[in-house]
Amino acid sequence: MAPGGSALKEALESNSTGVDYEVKMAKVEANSKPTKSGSGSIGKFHSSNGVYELLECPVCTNLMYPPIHQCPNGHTLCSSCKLRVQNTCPTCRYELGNIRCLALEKVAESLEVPCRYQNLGCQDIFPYYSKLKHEQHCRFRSYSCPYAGSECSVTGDIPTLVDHLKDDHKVDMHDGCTFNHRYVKSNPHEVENATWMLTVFNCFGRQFCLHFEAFQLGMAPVYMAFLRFMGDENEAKKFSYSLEVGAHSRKLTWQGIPRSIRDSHRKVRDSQDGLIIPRNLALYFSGSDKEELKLRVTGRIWKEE
Amino acid sequence: MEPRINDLQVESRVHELLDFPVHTNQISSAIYECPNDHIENPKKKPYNCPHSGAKCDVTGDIQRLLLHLRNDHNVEMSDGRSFSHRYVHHDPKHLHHATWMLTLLDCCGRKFCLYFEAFHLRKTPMYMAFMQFMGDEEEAMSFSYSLQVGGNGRKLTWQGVPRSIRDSHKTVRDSQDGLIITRKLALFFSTDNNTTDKELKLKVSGRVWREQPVSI
Repeated sequence: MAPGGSALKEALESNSTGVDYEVKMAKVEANSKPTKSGSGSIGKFHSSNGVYELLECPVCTNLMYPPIHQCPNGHTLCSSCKLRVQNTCPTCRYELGNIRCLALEKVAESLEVPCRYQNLGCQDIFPYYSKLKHEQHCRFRSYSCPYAGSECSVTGDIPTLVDHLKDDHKVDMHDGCTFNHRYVKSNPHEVENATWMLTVFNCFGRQFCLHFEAFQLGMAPVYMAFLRFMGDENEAKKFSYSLEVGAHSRKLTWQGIPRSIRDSHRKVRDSQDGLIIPRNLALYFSGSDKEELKLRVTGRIWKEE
Repeated sequence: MEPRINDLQVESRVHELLDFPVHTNQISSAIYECPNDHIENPKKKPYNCPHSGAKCDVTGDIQRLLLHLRNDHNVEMSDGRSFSHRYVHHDPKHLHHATWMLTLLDCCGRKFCLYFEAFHLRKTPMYMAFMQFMGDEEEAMSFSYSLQVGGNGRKLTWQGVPRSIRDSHKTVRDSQDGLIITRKLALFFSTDNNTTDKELKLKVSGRVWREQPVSI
């Protein structure tokens, strides 16, 4: 009830006042974008061919995929922008209606386009409709920022992300293949979910992210430590790592293979691919009082032959 | 022979409820107090049968309990210096409390109980393997043991000190003093990948050793 009502209200407001602004913005955006599209979505060497420009949506400047829409005057528009423009053609302001531009879809079928990660090193060229599928798995595609403490939308290649982690997230960088870290938390019983500061290790000329989190496994409070590799999955498999916690003549050791940062930290956590320590055990390892978490995690990274 | 996990299910939950708290050391030790106030050496106090999944009232010294375990509970004995057991759990999706297995291990002439148990840690299904020493706590501390599970390039290792069978196996389990494996990880390690979630086949390997006496 309530969400529907508010959405309707918003829609009405933007209909009376917002459309001009939105369309103007879109046009400005479209004009300022060619530099980006020139380097990314459409290859420079194709820009002489006007057909490719026809396939660029005039609002978002992305390439259009079926269903491609047009207004009664023939101005084209991608399907996601069509939903946003309140049934008014952003080019001629005519009522948009619901007309599909099948001809352009068919033309696109005959085209070959470079991968959007051309500037990151991908040299492959694909039939128009295979391109998207390739780009989802292209090994040159950019990585998402591995920082887990907050949502971060930054993407880029590995050197860019390493700089970004250092500069923007103030992440600790360590050189070397062995480590010894202590995770401390007062009042551990009050915290069900926590993500500790990410640590990045620099070894073998590659970077590895050490994650440490508190979460609920079902109803059971646990801590988990695991490693992710800053690179693709195939390369990640060439490495192994171990993590160890212990005290009082006991120790728990995990040996594993780092996952690529292509897998989100949430995904790795949920697959339990790491060292899981039930809270009671972690507190037992922390010292006598059990009132504070002081868990020493030691570890090592090595390259498999 | 693959050890199979006994599926005692609800039965033993009821037994736990019926456990009368008189079994605590404090109260039972008073039994050994003679009318002349001579307190008997607590080390000579008989042990309870460590086969605690089902109610067993047998008590006695270690030799007697070993015979009892072999003859009455059909528990098998393995060499503790190096062992590898495969646990098969049919229908791991329906995990009940007190689904467990006991094996005896021999090391340096001493005997150890190796437990493998399925249980819920606050409703989360887990497996746990741990060892208990058939003898008193003081001597238990001169031993160490390790347990390891693995698969798919991963392995999880626990190294610990066996607890005396003076502690009930429930006490040890609840104190998490052993190798705890979540069901998800156990299935990931399950040796037979063809039968994915249908059946758990977990190989647990390990060893027991006597620590060198520490010279001070």
